[in-house]
Amino acid sequence: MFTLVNGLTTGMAVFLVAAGLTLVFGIMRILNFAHGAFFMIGAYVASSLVGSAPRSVLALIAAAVVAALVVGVLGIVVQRFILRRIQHVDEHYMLIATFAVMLVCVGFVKLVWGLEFLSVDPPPGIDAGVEIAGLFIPSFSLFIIASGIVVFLVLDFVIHRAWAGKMITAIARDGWMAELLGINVPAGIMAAVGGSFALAGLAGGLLLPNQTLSPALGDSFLLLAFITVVIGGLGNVRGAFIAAILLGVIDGLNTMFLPAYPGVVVYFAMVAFLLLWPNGILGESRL
Amino acid sequence: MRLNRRHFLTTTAAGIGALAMPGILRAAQGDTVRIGLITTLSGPGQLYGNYIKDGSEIAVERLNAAGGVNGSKIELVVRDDKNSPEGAVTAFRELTGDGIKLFAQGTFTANLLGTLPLLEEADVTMMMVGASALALTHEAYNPRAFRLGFSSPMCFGGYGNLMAQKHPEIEKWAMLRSDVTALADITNAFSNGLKAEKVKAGRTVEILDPVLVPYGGADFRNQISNIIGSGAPGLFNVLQGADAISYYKQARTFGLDQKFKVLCDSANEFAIAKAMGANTPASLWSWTGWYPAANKDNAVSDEVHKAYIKLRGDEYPNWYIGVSHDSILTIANAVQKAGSMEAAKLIPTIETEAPQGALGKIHFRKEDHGFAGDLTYIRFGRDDKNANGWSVFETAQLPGAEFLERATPGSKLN
Repeated sequence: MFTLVNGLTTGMAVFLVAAGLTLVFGIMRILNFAHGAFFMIGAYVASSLVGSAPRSVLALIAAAVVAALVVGVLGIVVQRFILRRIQHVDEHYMLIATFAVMLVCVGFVKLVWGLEFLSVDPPPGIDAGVEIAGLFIPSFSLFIIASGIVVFLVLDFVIHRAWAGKMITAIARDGWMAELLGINVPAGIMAAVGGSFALAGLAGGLLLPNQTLSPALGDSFLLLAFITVVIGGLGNVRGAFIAAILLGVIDGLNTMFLPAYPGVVVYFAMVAFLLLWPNGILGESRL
Repeated sequence: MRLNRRHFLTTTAAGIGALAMPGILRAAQGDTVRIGLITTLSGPGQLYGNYIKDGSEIAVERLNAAGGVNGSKIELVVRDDKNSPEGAVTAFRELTGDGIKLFAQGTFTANLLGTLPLLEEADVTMMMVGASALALTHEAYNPRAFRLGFSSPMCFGGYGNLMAQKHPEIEKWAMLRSDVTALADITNAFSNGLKAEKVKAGRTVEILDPVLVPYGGADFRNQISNIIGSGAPGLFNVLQGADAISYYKQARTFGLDQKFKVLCDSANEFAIAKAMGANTPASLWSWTGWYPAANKDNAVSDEVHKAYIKLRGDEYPNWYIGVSHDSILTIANAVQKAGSMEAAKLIPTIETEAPQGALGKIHFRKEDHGFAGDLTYIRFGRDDKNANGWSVFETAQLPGAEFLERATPGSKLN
């Protein structure tokens, strides 16, 4: 049971990072290698706002929202000057370009925040543990799980129910037709990409007390986030949510039953999922 | 203009002469002793390279202020190895091409393994700064290189020994480490040190298999619950850098302090306390290569400490500062005593001299050029009375030579 709770925590943490990644792919068909770096910038921005000891959960959430806005603006700049230009070129160029953006981000973090490790404590209220049905669960794990579910529900509502989401879906599926219907396609794409990057910043802020801040922070979740996006179905937010939970639980069971090979089963799981569902659990999606 | 054979040869000779001139001139300069420093100043590992550069520059500043080497000033020529063997070799070839005969390089073993085979051809002497891998003084041993670093059997064998002495009541130890094969040396050395001392004291000890954690991972909760469920009162943690701090952060909510009587960290020393502040574990042991407060009667250590505070404003320097300082000091001392920069004269001088450095007496085992200085361990932890939220409670030192592994220069240690 404890392994399942831990797995769910890991899964939701990965989903928070993967959500923006899958959205960018859904909108622009770009696998953004720099996504982890923007997650890292979000974490550093939030840490600058709350310091090493946030006063309350609300202060942490507020800092995460500001980090999301800052990273969202950075995302619009990146979209305007880089992603837009590489949208229709060969995938290799996309990977190289986004990799270069990642290097620039890492360099920027080193210049602004330095190389030393930084740490932010969980705020009062989520800094201890609770006992549920005889099971000790860290409060911060519950915070991560709740954050992941809330972000998923909001995203799902926006994409599938709200007018803005439908407009973005139309642009992602057929930009030319959307333009004929009077939709401002460039503005729509810019807003959607900005939103996707903002999700990376939000994840950085919300997961702040979970990780150590260093210029290598972006790498910590990136690989798992990519696996989540691939298993869930490229560009499919619902798929990413389900895949993140599955991966988290699989990773937890891996530690329990094969402790000598940590993290290995996730890769076997990815192979198995792709053999069974080559387009991901819920299929590839243009949102 | 038509280029004939004579023109071509004259122009080429002039060009080669012009290109070679700066190197020839510099190599012949009698007023400076030039030391090449190759370290990691970009990419992963840059943090440690920066410490090495700082420590080396402090050494040069101190030595020059004291009159230099036989009246000559020391000049440090720093190059970035970009944390790759290719980068290290490129930097090495550039500096040797420029006439440099004295080198300090560190700290990553892979990069050192790139340059070690080139030392003979370039006729140079090298200090390997802070490097710990056994290969450097065993299968990849090069008589022109000296390791001013601590091998795993030495510092972690000593660590296990110290813990067995300090906590004889603990009969069961758990271990946690990253799934990096090289780190297995550390857990093995700690276990061996612990067992050897327990056997000597006529006691037994149970050491559990290490719980493995993915290197660079994001979430350690599953492993934390495994470790806590082990029932062992002693824990030795071999995670590094950001992984270690994330682990302590996540473990805190599981009540790590209450679950273990003794917590030992391999070598993250003050990086943990500096990052975690008032949330640092209540009591944590760590090995360190240099801690000024543990060397109270050492004037060199005090001076280096003061110089670092002046340079960076940080009262708790990383141990690489002391080690890199002493690497430069050892080279300078050897040049002074030998009156030469030739490897043939420097090597026996370094083998026999023991200059006073920040770490103490700097001496090397003659057979394999492994550092045989003192070992330092610190215990620090949360302290509400201190403004930064933590304090150092205790230090311990052991004679490193007693824990050095068997010398097998040129072949692998079995």
